Amino acid sequence: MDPIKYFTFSMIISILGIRGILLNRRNIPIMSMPIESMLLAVNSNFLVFSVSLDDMMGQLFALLVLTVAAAESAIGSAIFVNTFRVRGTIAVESINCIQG
Amino acid sequence: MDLPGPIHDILVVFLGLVLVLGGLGVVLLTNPIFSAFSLGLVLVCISLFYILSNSYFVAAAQLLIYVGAINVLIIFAVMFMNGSEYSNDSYFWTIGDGVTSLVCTSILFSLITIIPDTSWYGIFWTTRSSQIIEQDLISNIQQIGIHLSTDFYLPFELISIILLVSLIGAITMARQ
Repeated sequence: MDPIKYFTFSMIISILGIRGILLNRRNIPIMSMPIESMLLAVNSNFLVFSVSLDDMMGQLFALLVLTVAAAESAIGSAIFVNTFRVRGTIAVESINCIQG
Repeated sequence: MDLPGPIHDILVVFLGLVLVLGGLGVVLLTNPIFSAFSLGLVLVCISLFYILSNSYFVAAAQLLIYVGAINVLIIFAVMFMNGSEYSNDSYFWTIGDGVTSLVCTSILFSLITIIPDTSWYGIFWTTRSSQIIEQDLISNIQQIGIHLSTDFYLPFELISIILLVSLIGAITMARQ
């Protein structure tokens, strides 16, 4: 019964993250927060399985995912700040330069 | 941790409730600074979960990296771009928003029905990891160190290259 409780919470956080990304209509720096919460839910799943299976690989992989999340968040913040400096607006609809 | 059964269960349920409230606060609050701080609450709650599950190093790393670095970066980005515009006129849901909410809710309910019905204990007993080291005499951090330097050596080096590349990229973008 114990892993099921942890799965439930990480599943709720992951689905809230999906919903937060898809229903974000306001501005761009808000969009990085549900992405981090989805990565967090995946981390939590790795750790739940690592504790249940008595295997250390899950904790190691969770550490690697943590590091990748940190790198991605740094690059994302740099891109957002530069976009704001160039465009002057942070509405999600204004990011359409790649459109054909 | 070696807590008695009921205290462990009460702590898990309490932390889970705070976690779900924080997650709802991240997506539903209108002020972006409140969302960023409730993301910090979610990260701290998950750290406490990890401490309850005997994963002390990952809990400490999560507190340092996620709360101390990523959350601070997010709050900086939010405060830097705050006050320009909020596009407050978009409170009405479109048809696409309704379809998305329907899909998310259906995924949630299907997962709620699937997860308790799966026989996780059947899956657990069929997998056996090859343990080359006695795991009782070595602490958690020593096990992580041993695995990082023997099995996970290549991912360790690749992670350092990823961090170097992201550092160079962020500095290059910030210089302009």
